[in-house]
Amino acid sequence: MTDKALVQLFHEGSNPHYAFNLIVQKYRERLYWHVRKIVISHDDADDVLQNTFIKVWSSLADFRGDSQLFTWLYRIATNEALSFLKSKRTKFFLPLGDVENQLKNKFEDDPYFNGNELQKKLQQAILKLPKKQRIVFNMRYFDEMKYEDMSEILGTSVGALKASYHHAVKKIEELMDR
Amino acid sequence: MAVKKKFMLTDDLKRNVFNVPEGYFETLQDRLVERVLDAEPQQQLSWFQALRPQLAFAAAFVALVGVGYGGMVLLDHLSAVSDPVDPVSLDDFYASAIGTYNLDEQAVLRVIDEEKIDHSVNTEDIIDYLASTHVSLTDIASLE
Repeated sequence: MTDKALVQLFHEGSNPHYAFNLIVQKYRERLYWHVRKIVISHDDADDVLQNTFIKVWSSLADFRGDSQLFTWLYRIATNEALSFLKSKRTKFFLPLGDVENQLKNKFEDDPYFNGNELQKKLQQAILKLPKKQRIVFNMRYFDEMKYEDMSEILGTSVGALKASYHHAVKKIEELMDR
Repeated sequence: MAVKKKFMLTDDLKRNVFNVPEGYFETLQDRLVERVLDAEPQQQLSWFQALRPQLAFAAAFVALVGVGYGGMVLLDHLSAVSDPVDPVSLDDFYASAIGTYNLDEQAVLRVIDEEKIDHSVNTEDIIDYLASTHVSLTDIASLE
C-alpha cells in the first residue's frame, strides 16, 4: 500500500488503529536502523523507536500530507533520537562530546554488534563526527538516501548537505588512516 | 619500502553491523499497540478532569477564606450597630429633621431635653406636653 493510501485509510477509514498498524509494519525496521545508528545501543534505540511511534500516533490526525509520510516519520525519529542524547547528557551532567565517548565504549561489550575490527573502527570514527554530520553521513552512506529527501527530513539545503557529507567522508578517511 | 595503502570508503563496509534480539520486530508491534491503547484514555482526559483534584482544593480554600472574611465583616457590622450614637451627630440629626420636615422647633427641643437631661419627669409635665400636642383630652384622661 502506498504512503498516500495509508494516510487516507487513517483519516477516512473506520479503524485508524489498523492504518497505524500498517504504517508501523512498513516503517518499523527502517526507522529502527536509522535510530540505532544515532543512539548505538539496542535498548536505547527500542525506547526511542517506541516514543517515535507514540508521537506518530498522536500527531497523525494532524498530518495532512504536505510532506511525504516517510520524510515526516524520519523527521520525528531523528528529533526523538537527538532529544534522547541531549537528555542523557543533561541527566548525567556530561560535558559536550562525552555522550559520544560513552557510545564508543558500547561497541566493546554490545551483544548486538557483529562487525569485524575494521567495521568497529569505522563506527568509532563516525562517532567522532559532530552529531548532525554523523546523521548526514549515515543517511547518505549506509541508507543511500537522496539528498532531496534528507533535505526535507533535516530541514537543511541540499548544497549544505552535500558539503557536510563531503567533509564527513574526508574526516573519516583521515581517522581510519591513523 | 612498503607504502601504507590509503583508506577508502567502499561499498563492502556498508553492511549492517548491528543486530537485534530474536523476534524483536514482531513483539515491537504488540508492545506498541499496548502503549497506544494505554495512552488513549489519557489523551481523552479533558483539562477539567485532569485538574479536578487541584480545582476542588482551590475551591475549598476559597470557600474557607470567604466564610472567614464574611464572619469578620458581620462581626464588624454588629459591633458598629451596638455602638452608642454620638450625641453631636444626634443634635445634627434633630436640626436637620426640624428643617426638612418643618417641625415645631420648641416641641422638638423639649423632647430632646427630656431625653438628654430630664429623666425625672412628673405626671403634670407629661399632661402639659401632651396637651400642647394634638392628643385629645379623653386620651390624656385615660392615661391617668
